Parts: sequence; C-alpha cells; structure tokens
Amino acid sequence: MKVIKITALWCSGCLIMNNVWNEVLKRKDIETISLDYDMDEELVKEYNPGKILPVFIFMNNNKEIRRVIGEKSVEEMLNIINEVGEEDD
Amino acid sequence: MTKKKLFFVSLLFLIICSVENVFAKEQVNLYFFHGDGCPHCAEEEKFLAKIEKKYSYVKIIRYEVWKNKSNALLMDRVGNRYDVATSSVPLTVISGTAISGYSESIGIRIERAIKYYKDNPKENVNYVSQIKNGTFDEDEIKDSFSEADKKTDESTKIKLPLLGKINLKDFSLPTAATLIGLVDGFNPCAMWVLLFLISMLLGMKDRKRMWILGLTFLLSSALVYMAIMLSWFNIVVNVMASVIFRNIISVIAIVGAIINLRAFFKSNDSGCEVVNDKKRKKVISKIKDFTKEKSLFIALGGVIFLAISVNVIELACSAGLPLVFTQLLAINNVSSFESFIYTLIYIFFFLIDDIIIFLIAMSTTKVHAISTKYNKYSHLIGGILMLIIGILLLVKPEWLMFNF
Repeated sequence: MKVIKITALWCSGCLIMNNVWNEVLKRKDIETISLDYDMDEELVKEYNPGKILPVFIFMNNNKEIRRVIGEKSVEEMLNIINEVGEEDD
Repeated sequence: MTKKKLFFVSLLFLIICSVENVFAKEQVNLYFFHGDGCPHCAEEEKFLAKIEKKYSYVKIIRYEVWKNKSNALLMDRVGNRYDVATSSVPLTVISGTAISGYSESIGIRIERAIKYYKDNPKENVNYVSQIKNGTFDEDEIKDSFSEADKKTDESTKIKLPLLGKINLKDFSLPTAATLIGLVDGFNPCAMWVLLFLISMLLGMKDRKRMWILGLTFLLSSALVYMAIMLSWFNIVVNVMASVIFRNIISVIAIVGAIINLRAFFKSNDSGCEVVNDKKRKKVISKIKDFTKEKSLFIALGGVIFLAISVNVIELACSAGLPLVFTQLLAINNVSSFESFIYTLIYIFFFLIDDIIIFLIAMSTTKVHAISTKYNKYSHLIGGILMLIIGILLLVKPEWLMFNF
C-alpha cells in the first residue's frame, strides 16, 4: 500500500495534516508520495484532487482504494489505515 | 355696557388668555437655521417634516441664513449666546438646547429634546425669540435637557475593581471593532497569501530580509485595508447618509449572513478550498519573483504591490463585514478622529492571527497554521453578527447607536 499526499504551501489545513502524517509515519511504515498542488501540477491532475485540500489517496497495485479529504487527527488516520489494511486483506 | 356684561367679557377674556397660555406652555418651538442647497439641511428638513406631522405641539420656525442676511445675523447672535459655532449649518435650537449638524443620531437627539421640553414645560423657555426681540436678559442659557441627559449617562456607568468607573456606552464600539475585526481576520481568503509568502521567505535563509519583507507585507495590508475602510466611511457619511442607503447596507448584511451561515452548515470536510486557479497562479508567481529578486527595493515594491492587490481583490471575500462596520460607525455619528481610532482597533484584530503566525514562523523557522476547523466557526459567528446588525439596521437602528 502506498499513499499519494496532495497538499499546498498556502493551505493551513495541509500544514496541519503534514504534522499529523509525520506522526503517523513514526508508527506505521507507509510509502508516501508527496505532491504539491501548484508545483507538481501535471502529476496532481492525474489524481483529479477536486477543490478541497489536503487529499490523501490510498493506493494498492496502482488502484485507488480510499480517499481522505480535509483535516483529520492522528488517531483517525491510524483507524483509516487499519480499515484500509483489513479491506486489502 | 352694563357692569354685569363688562364682568362676563372680562371673565371670557381671562379664560381665553389662560387657555392660550396653557397652549403656549405646551407648545415646543424648534428653531431651524439652514442654508439653501446644503445637503445635511435637506436631510434634516425631511426629518422635521415628519416631526411636524408626528407631534402637533411642535412649531418649527425656519431661518434661511445663506441668502438672508438678517437671518444670518440672528444665527450669529444665537450662536454667541448659546456658545456654539455658527460657521456651518444646520443649527437646531429647542429652548436651552442648541444642536449643530445633522445625522440620524442627531435626529434622535432632537426628538428626545422635543419630548423632554414637552414633559418639562417649566424648563421650556423661548430664548431665541427673546434674543430676536432684544428682551433677553438672563446671565446664561440653561440647557436642562443636556444636564438631564448627563444624569442618565451616569446610570450606564458601572464600577469595576482596579479600573474604576466605566461607561458601558463607551465600550460598545470598541467591542464591536474587536469582534468584527477578529471574525473578518479569520477569513481564509487572505490567509493563504500570507502562508505562501512565509513559506517562500523561510526558504530565503536571510533572516533580516525575511523580517523586512514580512513586516512590510503586514503593514501594507493594514494600510490598504484602513484606507479602503476610511474612504468608505467618508462616502457613507457625506454622500449616502440616507435611510435608503442604510437599508441597502442592511440587505447586504443579511445576504452576507446567509452566505456565512450556509458555509457553516454546508462544510462537512475541514480543509482548504482551492481558490480561482488563474488568480492563484498569478499571485504565486509574483511572490516567487520578488523573493528571488536580488535588489531589496524591487522586492519591497513587489511585496507592497502584492498587499494592495490581494486586499482589494479579497475584500469581496469578507462578505461585507468592513462595510457593515463602517455603517455602524456612521450611524453613531463618530468624528473623523474617532472613526480612525475604531478602524485602527478593527485592523489590529483583523491582522492579529496573521501577526501571530508570522512571529511564530520567524522564531521557529517553521510555518505553523491555525486549523481550518476554526474557519467553520468564524462563518457561524460572522453570520450571526451580520444577521443581528442587518436586522437591527432595518428595524431598530437606534439600538445600534451607542454614543448618542
């Protein structure tokens, strides 16, 4: 499983979620591809992120299995990862 | 004429005189010194026409002073006796009370003075006609209405430990400035530019330059917002001081309230809404350009230009809060200096979250943001505030006049 993280430098919710995700990565080993909404425009377009940032896209074998939009707590993110992991099995 | 007839005629005369006296006592004379073509006089004229219809006991005596020299002389003499400036019109005199200028809150004061002199006929003295006839021989004019007003003013004072006596009325406008400024400041529209700017500044590694460019951005934003609000205030006071215009603002406030409340109820996901792609890219490329610029002066010019354009464009995003606030100042009839002070308080609280984020970023060299979860509540508070002010402007504007 890998996660595509789409954030922007100007987005306060993204700054909060960067910290949340760093906390998550301390507890879980997840491959993460970080994309910036403005700097990596072409790549970001492929994932069709919509109008609300940040966006976390959970992928398995290059297939999207879950999308999380907006701010979440560390606990909420860990729960989502567990759910996605179970679905994956 | 027989003695009997003479007695009845005398009695009738006495009765008529005393009845006239009673009426004369009940009548409240209002002297209106005005100039032909003066817009505030025209506004007061409309107001007085309503007063004449509403209170049958009010007699309005009009003196045009711009074309009529003897009326102008009378106004000077009245001004001298009442110790009020006669350089501008309108001037309204009711018994011992002289009121310069006209605005909605002054209208309310005039109406209260009329009622006061009607209820206190002993205090109702026709000083102006005495001055006109040359029969005025008092040492000084007694403004009993203003004295009574001061006493009621005392009743709104409360005693607080350490601070002493505080007048609640004096706190209403500063509180409104603080509250509306704070809610306006939490507006995410302007925040994104600051966050991107700080991110770029932190990449510069030159701390002195970071401070200069960041503070210039905040200061320019404050000045631009202030200039917009003060010019708006002047337009409201001088050009559009009418009920129709006030009603238009109240409708704007109610529409703004609906937009804010809708945003509160609609937003389920916290997060940042991606603003207009074209506009965002333009701002981002500008910030990148001037943070890379070697010359500090060109970089400063870029920051100032950015602050001006962002604040002018994003003004629409605040859904009318500054507009509502300036209207609040206008109906409270504050002076230019007071409007400056209140706008300064508004701007300070408008920028306080930006200042805090900037200072923390500078001291920790990391951008710390305020959670977007709070944006939702700024929509709720902003919506409620605008709804209350909008409805009051429409139905009970006098409840918003804190300083009359």
